[in-house]
Amino acid sequence: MRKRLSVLISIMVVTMLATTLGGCGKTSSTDATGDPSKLKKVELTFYEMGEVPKDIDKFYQELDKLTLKDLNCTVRFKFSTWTDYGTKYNLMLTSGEKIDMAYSADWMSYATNASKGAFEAVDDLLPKYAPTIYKDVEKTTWEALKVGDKTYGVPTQYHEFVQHGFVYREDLRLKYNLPEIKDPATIEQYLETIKAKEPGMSIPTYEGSAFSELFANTTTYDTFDTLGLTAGTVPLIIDDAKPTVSISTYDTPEYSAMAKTMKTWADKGFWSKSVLSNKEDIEANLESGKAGGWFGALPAKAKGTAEKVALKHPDWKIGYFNYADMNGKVYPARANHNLMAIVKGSANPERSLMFLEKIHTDKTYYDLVQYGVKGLNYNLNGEKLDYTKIDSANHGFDIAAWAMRNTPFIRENINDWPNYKVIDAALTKVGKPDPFDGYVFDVSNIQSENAAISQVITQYAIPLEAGLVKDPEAALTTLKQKMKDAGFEKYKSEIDKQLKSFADNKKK
Amino acid sequence: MKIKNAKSTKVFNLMGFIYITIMGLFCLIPFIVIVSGSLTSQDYIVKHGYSILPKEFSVEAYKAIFIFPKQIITAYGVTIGVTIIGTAIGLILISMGGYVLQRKDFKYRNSVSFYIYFTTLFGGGLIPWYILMTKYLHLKDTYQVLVIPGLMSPFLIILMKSFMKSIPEEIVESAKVDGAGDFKIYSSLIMPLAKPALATIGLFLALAYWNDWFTSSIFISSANKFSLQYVLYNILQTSEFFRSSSSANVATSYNLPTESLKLATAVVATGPVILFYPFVQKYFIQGLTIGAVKG
Repeated sequence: MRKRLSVLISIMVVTMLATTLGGCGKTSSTDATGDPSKLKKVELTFYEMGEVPKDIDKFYQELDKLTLKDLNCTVRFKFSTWTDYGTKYNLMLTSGEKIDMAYSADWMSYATNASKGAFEAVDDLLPKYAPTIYKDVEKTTWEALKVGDKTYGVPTQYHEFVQHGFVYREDLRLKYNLPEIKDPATIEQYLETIKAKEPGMSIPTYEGSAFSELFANTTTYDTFDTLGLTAGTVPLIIDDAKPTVSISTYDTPEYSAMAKTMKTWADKGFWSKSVLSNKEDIEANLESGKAGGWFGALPAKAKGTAEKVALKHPDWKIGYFNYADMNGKVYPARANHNLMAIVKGSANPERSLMFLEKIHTDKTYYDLVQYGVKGLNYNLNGEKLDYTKIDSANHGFDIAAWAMRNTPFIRENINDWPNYKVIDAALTKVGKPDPFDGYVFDVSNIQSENAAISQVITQYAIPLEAGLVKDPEAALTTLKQKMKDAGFEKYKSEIDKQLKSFADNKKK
Repeated sequence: MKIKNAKSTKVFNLMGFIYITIMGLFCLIPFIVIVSGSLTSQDYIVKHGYSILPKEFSVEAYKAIFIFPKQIITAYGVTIGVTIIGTAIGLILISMGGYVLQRKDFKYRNSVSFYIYFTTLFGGGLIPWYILMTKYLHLKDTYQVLVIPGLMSPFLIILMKSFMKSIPEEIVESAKVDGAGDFKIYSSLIMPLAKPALATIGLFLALAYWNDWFTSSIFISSANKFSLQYVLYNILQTSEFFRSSSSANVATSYNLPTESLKLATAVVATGPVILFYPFVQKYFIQGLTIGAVKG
């Protein structure tokens, strides 16, 4: 019986493997027809993140009119919806579904998927089928997108900043005659006054970011935290002067100084003792007037909040302090922040690129894909978007075509928060290319150390950073010791190795 | 005749009542908080937390859910249809399976039982399952995919089998003597006797179909075939995503009352099931002891 069972099991295992691998082994069928004038009629399938937009049928009607004329194709979108999108995205890639192009990004594991062979390289196709995109996107961006020595994604032509800032109530600052917010000291003064004079309004809910925001932005180090993907989970930073060697965050004098500041803030009651388990929504708190500040707000998020507050409480004013004003360090979002990638096994890679090229160069396409059908989903007031007469609940068109944005084509909204432009202009002025664009933080060789270190960070570093320990000095010593025990040496040397090879590759 | 209770029994009963009342309150209060929370304005919840009675009455959250009444109604239709069809077919299949598996004149019953049982220990995993459904059975984006995967489960077959075992075999024999065929025995004799089991397993099946959002999530791509739970779950997930995303991508046009919305969603989703319970409760209690005592 036992023998028979083991035979049975091994047969099953083999079968399972065969089925699983069978899904991966798709052969690509790239037929280069070349001549755009004699195109065969095809249907392209694009995979996008997010919800199925309302009025999608009307949208397709309009789109088909355009694409049938210009490219002799129809384009259909598939949407992940926001439920379990990670799982579904992977299923889409591994099961060999018929998808021509799919959204990809750093937060959807672009590099991993590309190196596993989920995408088709676009290097040879781009100059031929999407020449304008190829020309408009900077060379450094194409370089940064390389995985191995091939490019697998077409990036967005949209400059955006993932630089955080501090959102506060400008009206309250003026009411109490407080100085303009420009550094941790003025933030402290502001919070102290709020705490004392506005009893109904508590503190900014500490979202684990007061420390990391202020630490990263008052020093000149580069962090590994991009986009909050690894926020606060990498205990390493880099000194610009020596980009091939990382430094332990906890060894820097700035760290212990900041930990002490946080201790005084916590003691003054800027946030409650139970903040670490707090799941409150800072944005909602700010909008309802419960919170007086928000530490980790992106300009775009601040814009959203300000616009909502402007509708709800016209007498309030939202202020925004850009952390970049402290150390002048601003990087635009990385090259792989929003991409479209050709899925392995796509029947029409050429046509898909041609469609992207159309969106990039033709404003009619652009407006349709980004804003929907004019008159139904949006109106224009001059050149600006006007949603005042649109029933947004039933006709709000919101396709997440993030990877198809193009800065010169973007339309302003008549309700835009005026401050946003100022912030954006300021960021653009000081912004400079991220020296680590294209670097992929890879922990596959140090998984157990990584897990142990995350554990130590949660247990020892976060309470220290939230100012909830009795003695910061002692807590820091313990933290360092625990780090060492968790295998910090090995962890650091692996990352250093990666940094070195990244720098070497760049020189080539 | 009334039996006089001893004092100790009275005390015991009193304690029992108190205990059960407390337990009942433990179950009831959270539900009341959910209902009242769903009727409170978002701002009030953010500022002051939940309460037993709605302090600042608002139907904002229900508006947000029912803003596309067509979508919700379609989803209700899909879910009700799937639940009824799935439960009916599932019950027939499971009861036939269970009946056959316990017949002593079925020579390979143990091997077949083992074969069924074996699938609970080893499964192919998500990706092979997905590939089977989409590439070989071509069930992607169809109504069938919502019904078929949930029709039978090894646990329910085994449960049914053990219940059927408790029906005396003599009944089958007597029917045979009277000249009834196998199917006649199953349909006219066994089925009526197996009512408690059918009710229990039917309830299991119905709940599973009613609460299923995952199948919709991965297999269905057109919005008019979404099941109710998925539509509701998706509303939550979307607002959650837009709240928590640290990416600048995020469109800021989303304005959903999250806290109260979550609660309203729960109310909308549980509603019909609560109405459904009392009808099968009688059988359900009987069914719980299935296989526990064999006469």
